[in-house]
Amino acid sequence: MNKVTRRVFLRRASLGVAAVGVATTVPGFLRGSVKPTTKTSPNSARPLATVAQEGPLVAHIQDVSSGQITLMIGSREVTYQNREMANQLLLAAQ
Amino acid sequence: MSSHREAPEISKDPVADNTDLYAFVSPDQPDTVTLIANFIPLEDPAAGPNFYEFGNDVVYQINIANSGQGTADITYSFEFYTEIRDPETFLYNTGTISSLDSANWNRRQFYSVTRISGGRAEVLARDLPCPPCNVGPLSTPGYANLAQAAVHTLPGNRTVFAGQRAEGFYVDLGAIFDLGDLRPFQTLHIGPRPAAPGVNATAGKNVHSIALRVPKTDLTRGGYAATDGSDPRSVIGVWAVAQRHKASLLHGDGPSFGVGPFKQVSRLGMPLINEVIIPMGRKDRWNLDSPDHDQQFAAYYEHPGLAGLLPVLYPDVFPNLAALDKAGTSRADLVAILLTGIPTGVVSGFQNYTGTVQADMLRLNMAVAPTASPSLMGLLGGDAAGFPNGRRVFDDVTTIELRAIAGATYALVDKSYKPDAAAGLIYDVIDPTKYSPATLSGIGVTYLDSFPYLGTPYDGFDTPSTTTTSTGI
Repeated sequence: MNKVTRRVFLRRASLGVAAVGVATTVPGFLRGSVKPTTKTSPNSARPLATVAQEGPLVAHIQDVSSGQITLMIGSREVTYQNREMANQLLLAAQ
Repeated sequence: MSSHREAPEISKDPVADNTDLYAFVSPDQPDTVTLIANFIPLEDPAAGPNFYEFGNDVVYQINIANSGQGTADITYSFEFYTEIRDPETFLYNTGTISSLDSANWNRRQFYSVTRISGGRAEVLARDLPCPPCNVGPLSTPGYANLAQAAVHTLPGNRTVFAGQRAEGFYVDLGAIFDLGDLRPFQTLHIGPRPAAPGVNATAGKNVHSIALRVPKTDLTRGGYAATDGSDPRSVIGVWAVAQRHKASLLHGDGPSFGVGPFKQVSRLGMPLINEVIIPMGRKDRWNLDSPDHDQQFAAYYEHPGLAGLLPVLYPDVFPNLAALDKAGTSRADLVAILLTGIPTGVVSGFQNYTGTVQADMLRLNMAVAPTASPSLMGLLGGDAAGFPNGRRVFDDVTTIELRAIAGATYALVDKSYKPDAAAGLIYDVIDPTKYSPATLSGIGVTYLDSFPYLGTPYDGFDTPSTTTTSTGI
């Protein structure tokens, strides 16, 4: 049996405890457009292993000069403000 | 088309393309309302080996506004996944599919339903099976029974179905977009040609429907039963959306991979708006936005391009409309019908006004009882249970909107205006005064009397029914 949807797997892994008929706080992906979180330093309170389970990470830099890096993982988006890192990524893409 | 391939970007993404939206008081259970959102335009029934299905990477939602703000007070959200029994066969089915758990059915789809309101999400059901597509008499005999097995009861007297249905919307697409050469009025066109009967371009096509029947009290503020038509709480606004992950990657040998928050890529409230009212350069933008921001598009409703075109395409047929357009008159009638709902006092004994916020939503006054002998022309035909009071599956929304834009409804807001005679006579595909929901089968459209109301999908073996033979060159 092949489950085609990766997202469903991830959702079940993270939200599977919510039984049918039980009201829960709205997960971000159900609300549609989620306001991104802006950070200037990593959130050490969130274990890295937990974040890694959300799946691959995609970084998007629209404008390197702004130093703004949009990080997308699972159904989340984090805007990370780090000019040095943006420049390093640009160098890596050289 | 109501909203089939109506904008450049969504026309390239069929599984997320919301084609039609219906909202009506269920005729066989009048204490409930049925909401139907259709996706995947113009499905050809003979679609093997990869028959149509919902997008596993799409979140489908039906939104309800009941507080006059044009924002979602209630959302029903649907998510799908697919299972393959045997990845080593090329077939959709390896024998007759006689039940939804048939071992012969290789590629099955399931879904969850979640109700969101007041910041709380309630999962109403998980792992609900969809029916298969209607493959043909050997693969899916007794298709109606298969589909009926996919009608599921949810907690709270709710009922749901998600799967293939026959297209219920009819339109002479070829005529409309061939410079408005409406059959059978071609003799009056600026490029006159002999009159010919209208052609239903969607005959023999299928679609994928998400149908949900819920108690009226599930939709109103404070659980109001919607018994008084003059009570603002009886009126809801409805729209549907499809959302995709913000980013999509192609990698490895698997399917494309979505990541990031979900972003809206399609929406639909009133039929034909993004199709005909919104100009080409703003159609994609319209699909990304929410109804409460629709004031930015109000000028296109006040001065619709089609109202200016009709007198040009049909010289001397719409002189009063031409004068109205030339004077730059704002079409307050269209703004009311399409953007705010019709206030009390405009149509005797009726209102579906949701307040001053201009928002594209399908507005339904749920206190209006279903009609025993409905008019395809809805409110314009004296039948307040039909479009633009919600929309039933058979309502002739193309003709209704065509006549409204042609000026038939402007007298509602300006008693001194005399609509052109043609504004009350023009139609698309069929003369709606000569047809009923049952006789629409004559143009290839069928419906059910009970949930999910849209007809049994055409099967791939028998459709198209005409045979083309080749004798060589």
